Amino acid sequence: MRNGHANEIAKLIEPGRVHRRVYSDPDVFALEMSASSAAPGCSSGIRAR
Amino acid sequence: MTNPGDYITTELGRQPVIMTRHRDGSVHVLLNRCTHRGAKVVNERSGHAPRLVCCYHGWTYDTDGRLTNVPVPEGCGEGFDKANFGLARAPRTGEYRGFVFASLAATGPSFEDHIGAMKGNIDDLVDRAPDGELALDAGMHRYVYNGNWKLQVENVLDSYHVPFGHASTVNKQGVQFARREGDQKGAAVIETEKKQTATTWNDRKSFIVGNGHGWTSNTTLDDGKRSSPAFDAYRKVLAAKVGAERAAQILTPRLHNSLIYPNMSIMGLNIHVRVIKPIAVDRTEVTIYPIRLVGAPAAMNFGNIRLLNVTHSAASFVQTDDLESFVRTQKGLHSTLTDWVDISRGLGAEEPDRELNATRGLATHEMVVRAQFKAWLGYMREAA
Repeated sequence: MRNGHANEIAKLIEPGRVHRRVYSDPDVFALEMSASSAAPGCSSGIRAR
Repeated sequence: MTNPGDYITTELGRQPVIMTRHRDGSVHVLLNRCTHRGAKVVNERSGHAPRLVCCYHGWTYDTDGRLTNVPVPEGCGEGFDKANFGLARAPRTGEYRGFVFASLAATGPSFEDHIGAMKGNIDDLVDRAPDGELALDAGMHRYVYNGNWKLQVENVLDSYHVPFGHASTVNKQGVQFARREGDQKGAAVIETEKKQTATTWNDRKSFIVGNGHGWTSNTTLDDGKRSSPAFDAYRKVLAAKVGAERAAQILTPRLHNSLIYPNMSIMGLNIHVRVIKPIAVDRTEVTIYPIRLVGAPAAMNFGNIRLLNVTHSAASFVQTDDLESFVRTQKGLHSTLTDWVDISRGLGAEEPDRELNATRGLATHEMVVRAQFKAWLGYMREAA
């Protein structure tokens, strides 16, 4: 998973259910963290004023 | 962060960043990592400093991230140029009504395309301030739970759990919301005599607008008929600023919780801003910021902040219910004989809301969770 296969990730998500690994697999988590710098739009709301 | 030199530190994902207000008024989101040997430059959560000095070897940065001083510079290698050693900055930032959003990705949809319709949900909160401005300077509630970050993200728009997970607050005997400034009674999400969920709760709606964002509509928790000396004084101040008609619109409850995916929520009922940060696959930090409505009477702000102690502090009646559910879920998911988590409630029952340009479902359904995973899968596919 860490080296990444989009198809393997896609298999975790079905129309009305998700695989438990999306919550519990450290490799999925590592990919989420790399996604936060690779994927657009991930953000952290913080206030400037 | 109103004055030059003001800063806060936080994380984007798990990467430490500093947000600064520079002398020219500009806001900078900088990676909190000395370009020399890698130490975090700023260790405090927030503060004020005319310059940022690394504690290790004294490399000094201006509040816009430029490296301005290196002690004993004659030791640097030939051709060393301070201009090449400024603090790294978040490639892209966007700001809306004082909220700053930062992305670590250099490319992708613009901030405007990402935030989209959720600007209206930010407006709903900021417009409640007579001066049109919020201050998050009243402390915070911060806690860590042993569960995945998505459990909290999903929860903020989950209305299915409320009558059960928060029974001690929302049944007829549980009147925590009666402590809200101007409220005379508590909530009746559970009809005690019938021992079932109130029908009005089942009518509550949720909405999605793409990118994983969504919100839930107002609830029986808030009938819009608040009145007390502090609330009435606040209403008067707001009306003096924006007119009675507009003030009435602003104070008519419209939203409950709003999720700006992936990790920020705004609550309209018991006003606060929440930021959710992943630490590990089974560990998450949540920070809940009380809101000070700038221009509102002090008694009103005091009441708002006090109520948050009741509902969302680490020792509250509401948030601790949820934390227990998150921890139990994380433990339950260790089971290997049942691999799938069901999120099918309301599947196929979604319908377009043309007035709001959104997709609508019952708030006790799980449309919002499915929408979050759709966005999640898009991000993950790009990273895989």
